[in-house]
Amino acid sequence: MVYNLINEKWIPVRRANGKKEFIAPWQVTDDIGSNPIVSLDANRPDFNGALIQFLIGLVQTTIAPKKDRNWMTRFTEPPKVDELKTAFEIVSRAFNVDGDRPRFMQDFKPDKWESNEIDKLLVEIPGDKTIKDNTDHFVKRNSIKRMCLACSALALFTLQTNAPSGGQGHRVSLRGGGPLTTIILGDTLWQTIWLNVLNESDFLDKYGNSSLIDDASIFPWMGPTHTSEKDQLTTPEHVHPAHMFWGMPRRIFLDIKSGESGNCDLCNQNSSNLITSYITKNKGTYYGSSWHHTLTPYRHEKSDLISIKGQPGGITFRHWLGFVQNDRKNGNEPAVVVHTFRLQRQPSLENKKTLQLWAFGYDFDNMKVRCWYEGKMPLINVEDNIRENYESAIEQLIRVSELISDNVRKYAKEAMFTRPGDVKGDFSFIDNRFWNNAEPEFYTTLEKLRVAFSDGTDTIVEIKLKWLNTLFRIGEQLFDEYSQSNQIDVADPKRIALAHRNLRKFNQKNNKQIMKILYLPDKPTISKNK
Amino acid sequence: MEQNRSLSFVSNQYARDVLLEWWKGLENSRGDRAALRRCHNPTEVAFNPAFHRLRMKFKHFGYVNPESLALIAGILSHVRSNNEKVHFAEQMAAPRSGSNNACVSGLRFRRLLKLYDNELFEPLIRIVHMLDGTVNIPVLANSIYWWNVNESTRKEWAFKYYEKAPSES
Repeated sequence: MVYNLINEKWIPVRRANGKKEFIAPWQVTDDIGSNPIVSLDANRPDFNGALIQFLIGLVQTTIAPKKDRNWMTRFTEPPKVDELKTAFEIVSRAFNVDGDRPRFMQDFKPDKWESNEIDKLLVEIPGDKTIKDNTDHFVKRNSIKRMCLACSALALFTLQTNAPSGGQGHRVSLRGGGPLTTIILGDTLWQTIWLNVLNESDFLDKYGNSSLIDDASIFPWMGPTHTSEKDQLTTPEHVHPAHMFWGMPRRIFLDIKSGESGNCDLCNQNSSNLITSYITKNKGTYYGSSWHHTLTPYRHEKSDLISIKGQPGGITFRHWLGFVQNDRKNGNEPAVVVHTFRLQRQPSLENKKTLQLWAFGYDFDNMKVRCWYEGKMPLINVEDNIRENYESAIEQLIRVSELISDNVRKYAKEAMFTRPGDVKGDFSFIDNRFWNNAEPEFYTTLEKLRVAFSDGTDTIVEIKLKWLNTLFRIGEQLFDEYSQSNQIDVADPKRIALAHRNLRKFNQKNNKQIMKILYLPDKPTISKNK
Repeated sequence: MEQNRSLSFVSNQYARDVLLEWWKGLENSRGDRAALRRCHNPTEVAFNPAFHRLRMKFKHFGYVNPESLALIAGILSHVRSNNEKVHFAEQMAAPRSGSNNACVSGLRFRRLLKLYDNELFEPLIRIVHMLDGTVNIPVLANSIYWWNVNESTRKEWAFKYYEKAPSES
C-alpha cells in the first residue's frame, strides 16, 4: 500500500471539545456543526506552521474561490467533507510519500547520492562539524534515529518550505532561508485555512504563469528538477502560481528500503515502516528573489521585494508595522492575504469581528537555527473614515516605543560597563523584555484609541501621554534590573547613578524627539497623568 | 521579629513629628545630649535615659527595632539644625563654601554605601559634622532605619548624590 497524504489520516488536530485525533486533509470540515476541528496539534510548533501552509496551499491549489462572493459563501457555509475529498483526489497522485516515483517533495531522478541519517531533515539537529567538535550541548546527537512516514513527509515539507542555506549549492527556500509567515486565525481550522486563501482571479494573475497547468509546474517533484548547476534561476514565469506553496529547493529522496518497525522517535506512534536515512544532492532548484508569497510580509528595497525573515528578538507588537499595517518608513508591507482580509473581507464579515494574526518562523544564522519564534496580534476592524488617523496614531505609538526601547538598552549598557561602546554582544534581550512587558498595555491602548476616534472625543493626547508613561515605567524597571542598581554597593554606584540620570533626562514628556513623533502640543495640557 | 512595614519618618507625619519633638527636647536636657554625644556605639546609647524616652514614644507604632532606633538617637544627638528642603544625599553632594568639591567626597560616599547598618554609627556622625550639623532629619532617620532591609535606600542616595555632583569621582 502506498502512503498517500490525501488519503491517510496523518494530520494531528484538536476538536472544540479538546479531543485530539488524526485526520486526512479532506476531513477538516468534519462535524463542523457540533464539534468542529479548531486547531492543528502537532508535537512541534514548526510542524504546526508547516501543516497550516500545507492545507492552505492544498486549498488554494484545488478549490480557491472565484470571486469575493464565492469566498464569503464558503466562509459561512463550509464545503462538505465529500466535496473536499473529490477536489483533493484530483491531485492525490502528487502526494505519495513512498512507492514508485514521483514521490511527494522528493527528487524525480535520484541517483547514487550522499546518504544522510533521517534526523538531518530537522533543522535543529547538530551538523557534522558540531558532532566532530563535540559541541552538541543542547540538542544532542542520536536523539532521533527513526521516523514514521507521516513524520518524514512533514519534516521534508517543513525543510523544503523553510530551507536555510545548507552549504555550497544547497538552495534556500522559495522565500529565502527561514521566511516569516503570517496566518489569519479563524474560529475553526477550516476558517483559518479559508481566511488565507486568495480569490482565484487575484491569485492566478499576479503570482506566476497560470497558463502552465501541467503537474510539474505546480508540484515540482512531478517532473525533472529545475536544477542549478550554473546557478540558473527558476522564477515565477517558469511555473504555475500555486508552485509557491510547493517549492522544492532541496534534492532529497527518502530511503524507504531501510524501513523497520517500532515506534517513531518523533510522534511515538507505532509504525511498520520507519525510515532511518535519505539521500541528497546539492544544486537543486534555485528560486532567486523574484517571488511574492501570499503568506509572507515583504520589504521594498529599491525595486526588489525582500521577504521578511525570522529575526532575533521574537515577534511582538513592534512588528505590527509591516505585519498588520504598512510600515511606510521602512517600506515593509504585510502579507497579501492580510492586506486582502483587512480591506476587502473583514468589513463584510458578520460583527466585523477582531481576529488574530499568527506570525511564526525560524531565526537562522546561515545554516544554524537559533530559535523558532511565534506570536499573535489582533486584527482590529475600524471604520474606513477613521482608519487613516487611527493607523497613523498606532504608528506613532510604535515609533516612540522603538525610540525609548533603544535608549533603555543604551543606558542600561552604560550602567553595566565602563566603556559601553566597546562591548560586543547581543543585548536584544533587553529590547525583548521591553516589548513583551509593554505588549498587554499596547493592545489596551489600541482599543482606547479606536473608541476615541470613533466617538470623536478629544482624548487622543491623553492616551498618548498615558502610553508614554507606561513606556517610561517599563524602561525604569528594566534599567533597575539590568543595571544591578539593587546591588549598588557592589556595583559602581557612580556609573549606575549617572546612567540613570541620562535615562531620566531622556525619558521626558517634553523631550523634543518624543514630542515630534507623537505630535504632542508644545505644552502638554494634561499634567495629572503621572 | 518583623519590622513594622509602615514605619516611615518621612511619609508618616505622626512618626516624623514624634521624632523631631524628641530631638528638639534634647535642647532642654543637655546632660543627656552630652552623654549621647559621648557614646561610641549604639550599645552605649541604650544605657541613656533620653533614648528610652524615644523608645517609649514609639511604643504604639507596633514593633520598632530598638537597635536601629539607638543608632538614630546617637547620630541625631550630633545634629544642630533640621533642613528638610533637600535630601540628605544632596546635602552630602552640595559643594562646601568656597570650593567646587562636594562636602562629602565621592570616595567617602561610595565607602559608606558598602557598610552594614551596624557599621554606620561613626561614619555617619563624621558626615553630620562635615555638614556642620545641618541635615534633613526625617530622611536621615528613615535611611538609617531601613538601611539593611532593601537596597532602595542606597540606590536613592546614589541617584540623588550623583544627580547633584556628577563630576565627583
